[in-house]
Amino acid sequence: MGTQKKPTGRAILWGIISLAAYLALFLNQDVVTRNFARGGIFAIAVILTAMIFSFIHGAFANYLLEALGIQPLKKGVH
Amino acid sequence: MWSLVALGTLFLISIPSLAEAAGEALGPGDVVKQFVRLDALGAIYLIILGFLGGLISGFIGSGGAFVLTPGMMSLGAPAAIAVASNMCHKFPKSMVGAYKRYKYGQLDLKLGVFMAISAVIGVQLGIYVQKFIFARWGSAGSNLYVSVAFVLILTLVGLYMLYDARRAVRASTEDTVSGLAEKMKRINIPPMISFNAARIRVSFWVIAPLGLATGLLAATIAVGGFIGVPGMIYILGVSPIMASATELVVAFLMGLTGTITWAVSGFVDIRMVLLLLAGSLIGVQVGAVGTTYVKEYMIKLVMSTIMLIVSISRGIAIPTYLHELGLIELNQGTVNLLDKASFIIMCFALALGGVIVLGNMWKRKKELQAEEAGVAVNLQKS
Repeated sequence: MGTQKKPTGRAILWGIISLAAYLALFLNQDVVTRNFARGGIFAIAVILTAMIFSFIHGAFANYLLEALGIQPLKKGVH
Repeated sequence: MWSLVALGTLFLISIPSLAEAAGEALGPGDVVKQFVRLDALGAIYLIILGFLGGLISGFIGSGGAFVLTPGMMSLGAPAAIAVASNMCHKFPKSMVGAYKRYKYGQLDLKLGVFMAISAVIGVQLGIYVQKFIFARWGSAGSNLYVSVAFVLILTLVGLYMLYDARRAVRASTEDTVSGLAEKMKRINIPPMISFNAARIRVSFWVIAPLGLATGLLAATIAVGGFIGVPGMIYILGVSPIMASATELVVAFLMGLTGTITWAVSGFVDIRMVLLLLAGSLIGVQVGAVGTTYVKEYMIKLVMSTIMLIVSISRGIAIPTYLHELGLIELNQGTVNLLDKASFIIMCFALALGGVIVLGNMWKRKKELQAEEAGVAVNLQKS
């Protein structure tokens, strides 16, 4: 565990991508909120947005934790 | 296989009225589509709330909704927006948590699918019960019924889990064995279903009612995981770590179906969803890692602690509903005070759960470092 190379570079890269995605959405929050509130077919956009952000930010969180040394201790539970 | 198909068909039939799929029942007056202004402080508040909710969720498989929904409402969001946004935040968070725990070998996907489909059908039954109560006794009556059911069920299950976890601590074992689950395993009514990862073989007629009951209670008291996880542990005999991981699959499917319905009506505030996710996607992975640091009974300990504190919080709200029904007299100041106290205690439950999880991870890490240092010293000596 301790000898593994920490993915600091990947954490920074995904961090930048995640931050950019958040900035892109929040700088256009009025347009996004207004359109998503229309419902109907826009439900797909809501679900896709949540999925895309969870992939991007989830990857960042994964590498961040690995870079901080927060990793599982054992595989399996039995 | 046919049992899964039957459950799937029933699930599809249930879809049209999944608005309350997470269980929160709303009165007609609550369904207001109005989006709040978010400032920096509000955003940070949502990120922290998301992190704590995610941490608990990654560790015990559920939790968070009980404080995230009122948390968003405290920023001024109408109830329907808060419920819809919580739902939309729940499915990606559960998906990431479930994936992580699957990688750790803690998840039984088949069990999760069976539980999730039967729970979603159970939600429909629960909604009927809720609607009946709402029609008969109105909003305050419905809230009173929900709170009493919530306090009773969570207190009873929470106390039993706490007692059980203490038994395991005193016996210095990984976990206890459920006598009821052993009896359930002896029920041999076909079809019998094997769940290889969870290492159990139970009758469909045991698992389906359990899933239904979980969904029914989820629709009533809005915290299905607090019933689903103990149900899997004590009725099916699944280990606590496996049960909590499997619950994430249930949360994912309930969250996704609920999101579809709410998003079609345009009630999801994607900004609040993404701010919650900013914290919870980190929290849920820390919580998942945390399960590899602790003994099985810790899941029971954390879950029961949260359940008991949350039931106190909900109990505090009961006088307000009695007042609204005209059964007791309270002044507005007292009502506001009870309301605030209830919310603060809920936040405390979440924070305490987070402290227990992180504290135990920290403690275990220190122990391991000390062990490694000890081994290194011994090697040098020899």
